Amino acid sequence: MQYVWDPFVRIFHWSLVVAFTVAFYTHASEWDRLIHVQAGYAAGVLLLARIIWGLTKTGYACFCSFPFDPKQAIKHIYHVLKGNAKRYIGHNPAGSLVIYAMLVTGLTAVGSGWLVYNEGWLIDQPEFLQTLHQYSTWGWLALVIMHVLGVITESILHKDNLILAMITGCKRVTRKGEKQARQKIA
Amino acid sequence: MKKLNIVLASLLGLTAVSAQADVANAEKLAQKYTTIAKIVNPGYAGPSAMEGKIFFNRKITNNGNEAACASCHTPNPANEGKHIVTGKAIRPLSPAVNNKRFNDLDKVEDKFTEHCNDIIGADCTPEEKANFIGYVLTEKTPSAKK
Repeated sequence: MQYVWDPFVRIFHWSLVVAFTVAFYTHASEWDRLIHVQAGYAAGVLLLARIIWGLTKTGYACFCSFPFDPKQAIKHIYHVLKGNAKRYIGHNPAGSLVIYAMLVTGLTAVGSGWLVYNEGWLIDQPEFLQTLHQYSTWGWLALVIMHVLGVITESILHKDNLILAMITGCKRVTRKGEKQARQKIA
Repeated sequence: MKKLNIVLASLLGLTAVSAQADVANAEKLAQKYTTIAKIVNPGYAGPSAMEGKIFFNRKITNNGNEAACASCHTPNPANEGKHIVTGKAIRPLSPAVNNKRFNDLDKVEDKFTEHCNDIIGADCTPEEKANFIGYVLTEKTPSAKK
């Protein structure tokens, strides 16, 4: 087994899942407004913490281990469709793209929500901000669905349980290509 | 540079939209609801500010929570309100006082549905919505501060 996700990354991941779900479930009702706002703030703090972690840490948590590279992402999807995709220990290039999109969209969702809640701060355009908050959160949900579909696809393709890996932190190790990949990062 | 121009132009467009006083827009929406209400009930005579006022102030208990529109928006829609859960200030509903209301009618319809579900437990009828707007349009001056 290969140790991939450190405890911070795992706690961050599942806390964000909880915060997002709570915020989503409570979004429509004014009676739940405080819970919604607190879940949103929690999500914002988690995202910022993850970004700091990604900038300062080494190994698979580091942003440097999964660069933002749309060209590689398209290549990877092409290989997935052809059935000869390379296995990555951390995020694959297509997954990385979704991760960055989720970070940016998530921060937009939290930031716009924060401005909607505190109407009149900084940008005094309530309806524009509400629209931005709606589009960014629904966009975020779309990205979450893409993320989950990607996880399932890769789990089947490489016969590995990626969901379990985000709980235990460990992934299955096979073949030499991965050993090289590991040496590259370490 | 081209991108920047597009951003600037759309920002300008946004300010232009919100700069217009939206009494006319509110009337348009009231008209839409009146048309629908008349399909359901041909006897409906159009927005009644009096009915709207009663509706606005009626306390309704749903899911163990008792509230009226007036609970947050005060008995006068031209006043600044206060959210009964968060304590946050709410700008006046009346478009005569607050020209940021009724700019985007899709938003208004979404808010109607959400708020009606909160207070009544179901969406309001077109008749109730038409009366509501009819009433909000009649309140043009904030109450004197105590």
